[in-house]
Amino acid sequence: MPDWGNLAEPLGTIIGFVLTLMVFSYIFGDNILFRLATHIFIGVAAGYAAVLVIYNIIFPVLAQPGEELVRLGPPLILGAWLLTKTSPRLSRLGNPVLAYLVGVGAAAAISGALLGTIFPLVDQSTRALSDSNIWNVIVNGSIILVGTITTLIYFHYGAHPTPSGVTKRETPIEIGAWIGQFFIAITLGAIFAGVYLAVLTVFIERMRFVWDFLWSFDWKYFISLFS
Amino acid sequence: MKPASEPETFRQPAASQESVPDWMREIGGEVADGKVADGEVADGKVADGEAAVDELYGIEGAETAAPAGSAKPSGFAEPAEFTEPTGSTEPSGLAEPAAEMGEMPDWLKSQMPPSAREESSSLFAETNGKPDIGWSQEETPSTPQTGVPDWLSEAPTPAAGDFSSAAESPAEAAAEEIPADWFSKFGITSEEKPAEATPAFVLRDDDMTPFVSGDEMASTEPVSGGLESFPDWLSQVPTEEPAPEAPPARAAQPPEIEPQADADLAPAQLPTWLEAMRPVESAAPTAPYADESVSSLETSGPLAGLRGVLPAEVEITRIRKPPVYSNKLQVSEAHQARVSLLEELVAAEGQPKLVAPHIAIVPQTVLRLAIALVLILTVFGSLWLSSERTPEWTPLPEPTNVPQEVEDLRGLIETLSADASVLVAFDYEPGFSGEMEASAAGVVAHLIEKRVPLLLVSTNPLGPALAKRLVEQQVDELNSQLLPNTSPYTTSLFTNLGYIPGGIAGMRAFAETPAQIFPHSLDGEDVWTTAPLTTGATLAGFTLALVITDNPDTARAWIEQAEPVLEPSPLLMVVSAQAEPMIRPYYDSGQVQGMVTGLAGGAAYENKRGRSGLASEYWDTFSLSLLVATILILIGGLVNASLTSLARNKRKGEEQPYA
Repeated sequence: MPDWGNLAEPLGTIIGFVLTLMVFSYIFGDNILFRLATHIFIGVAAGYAAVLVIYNIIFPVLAQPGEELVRLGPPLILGAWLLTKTSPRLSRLGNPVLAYLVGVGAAAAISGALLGTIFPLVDQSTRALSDSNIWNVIVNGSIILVGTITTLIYFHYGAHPTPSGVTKRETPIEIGAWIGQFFIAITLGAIFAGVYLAVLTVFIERMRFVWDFLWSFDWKYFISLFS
Repeated sequence: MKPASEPETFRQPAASQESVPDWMREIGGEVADGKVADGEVADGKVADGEAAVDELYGIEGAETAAPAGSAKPSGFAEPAEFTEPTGSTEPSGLAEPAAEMGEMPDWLKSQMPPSAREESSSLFAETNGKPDIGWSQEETPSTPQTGVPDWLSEAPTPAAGDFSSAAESPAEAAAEEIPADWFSKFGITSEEKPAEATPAFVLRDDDMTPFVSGDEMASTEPVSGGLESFPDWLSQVPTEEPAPEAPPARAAQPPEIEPQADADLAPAQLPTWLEAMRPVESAAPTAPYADESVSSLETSGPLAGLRGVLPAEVEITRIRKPPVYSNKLQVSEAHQARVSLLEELVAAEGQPKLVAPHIAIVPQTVLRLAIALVLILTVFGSLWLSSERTPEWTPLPEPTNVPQEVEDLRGLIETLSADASVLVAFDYEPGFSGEMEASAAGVVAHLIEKRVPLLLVSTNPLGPALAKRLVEQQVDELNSQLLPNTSPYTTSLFTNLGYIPGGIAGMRAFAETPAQIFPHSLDGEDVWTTAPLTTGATLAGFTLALVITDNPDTARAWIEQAEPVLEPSPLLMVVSAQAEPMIRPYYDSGQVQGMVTGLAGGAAYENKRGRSGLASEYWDTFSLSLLVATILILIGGLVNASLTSLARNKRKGEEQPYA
């Protein structure tokens, strides 16, 4: 009789190793092993999320005492109402609830973007000009000012037809956009470098897992669990 | 009134011969077709005397029935030649054979002068049992006839056109010769003649001269049946006002009776209450006001006679040529050029685009396998070196050169007291757990070492599982390195609240009322009963909040939604290296007070604290792999640039073969 309590960890390690190899099989191109591993990951994640929502969100709410349940009545009704979206015939009935959700989400996003991003970052940009070192103010201020303006200019798509028939932007706009593309390239390069560093770290973690499994996995202990 | 052209009127069935009187049978030889007479009798259209006389003297509309009030002597109804073929259908009591003087009313006889009586007697005298009507159909009225009175013979001959309505066929003529007295056999008397109220003819002045002089016309109203065209003796008869609705008996009364009766009547004296009840119109002293300020009087059309009509006719009848609009679109050359360009673009969309052949030195699969092999060997080699030699053979970031954001984060955690409460959000995907766990391991271990209560939440459904995994892993790691005389670390201080649903809105709601979003933990514990985590607490009740995420959008959402509520408590972040460019401005703006980015940040944090963790273990491999990857990128870039340059030179050589 296997020792199921102690078997979970080594068995999970073996399954993880196999799934890792299935994902790495993508080096040879798209294949059934890679697709199978992807589907397993998606299915496990969705199942776990469903169980978590049911036990973490719905059941605790329904288990509330009477007065709390009355307070939670409107959300429950709206939630049940939203289930009509699952039926193509009754889908239209769920539009008001969906509109309410989208409206509230949009309002929260817009207010948050204004008060949490735009205003503070604009304030920070102007604060950079208050450095005691005049050269820092000049250099940093120039970079911030030129980078911000030229980047915005780059996304200005207004153009006028020229006598030759070619549609072009105005010359100042064209110059600003040419400068702005360098700032955009630097930003995208930084993001790409960050992504590369992130995935390289993930790759190292997986290779370390494989290394450890190949050289450190206690096969004798694992076999002993079945005896 | 039946139309004149209706033949049925004159063709009655022969069975009606039985009702033909004897005198008519005697003149049967003179009648071209006896059926006609029968028909006339059957239809009751016998010798409409009034109509005949009217036609004779050119009275328009004489085909209509004679008015009841005419009280015309029947002796003027006999010229059958002028009887309207489609004349009145009435039995015509007035047209009865009044030629028989014995049936003439006494009042009429008394009104006739003696000479006229003789003429009338001679006019209607029968010859061989039939009435002498003076002339036949074939004879024109201008021809003198025996038996025609002088006054009649002196009458002007009507124009030929005036006889247009007269009977033209011999049958009609014969029918008009039927004596009217035989109607008495059918019980038809003059009293039974239905009253006719409305005269329907217009007199012409030139036709009235033979009978009525100008003075008589002036004194006599042209009413009812053309009395003005009567002979002199008849014109002397006092006329009376036409009674439209008068019964036949009343119409037959002598005309002088009513004036006599009116003279005998005393003026009516209406009582005052009856006067008051009279309609306003009858008591009005003047006629209703008619606005004649508008001089335009409609003279044609259905509104003829009305005044003040809008002159629509003028506008309607105005004839003008409609303006001509060209249906040809005015398109300039520039517009045509743009249209052509658009057509070319649309046409090009449907054409398959030729893909330029990719110049590859080696197949993509081989290249991909080569790069993967190089990276795998690099990682395994570094791991082998780490296992065989001293770990950390590559130097970690110097503690003195730790980034400021890392130092800020470490300092804030270092100052936490035992009664502080910390919120930790695990908002990263399982796929990036390798990087995020390595980056956040040192920070989480530092919090565990501080033995402060941690509340774990996540906006990712899989976040609670990742949080539990990392915290338990670090507790075990710390317990393995536990110093002597030190109590072990437990997970009892950590509460996993679970998943925050609702995205941004749910995050905002959790920041304002965390106790309502999570009344209980995942384990069902009531976590809001002890200070400082009370039921009414907001996010500001926490000492600090730490967000661990790989997604810059999630990090920004926490900053935008939770940071304003969290103030003045600090918001710290452990972010992936890919999110650093997006989140660093928030650190610069002060919205994020401390930050650890990627494996490098985690390694710097651990090295700063003098602890070894996942980041430190990965650091050697990370450094070597990064170097190899950089070299590969450079090699790949050089090869790509060389191939591009070669292709460009080759293309130039093809374009300029003799240059």
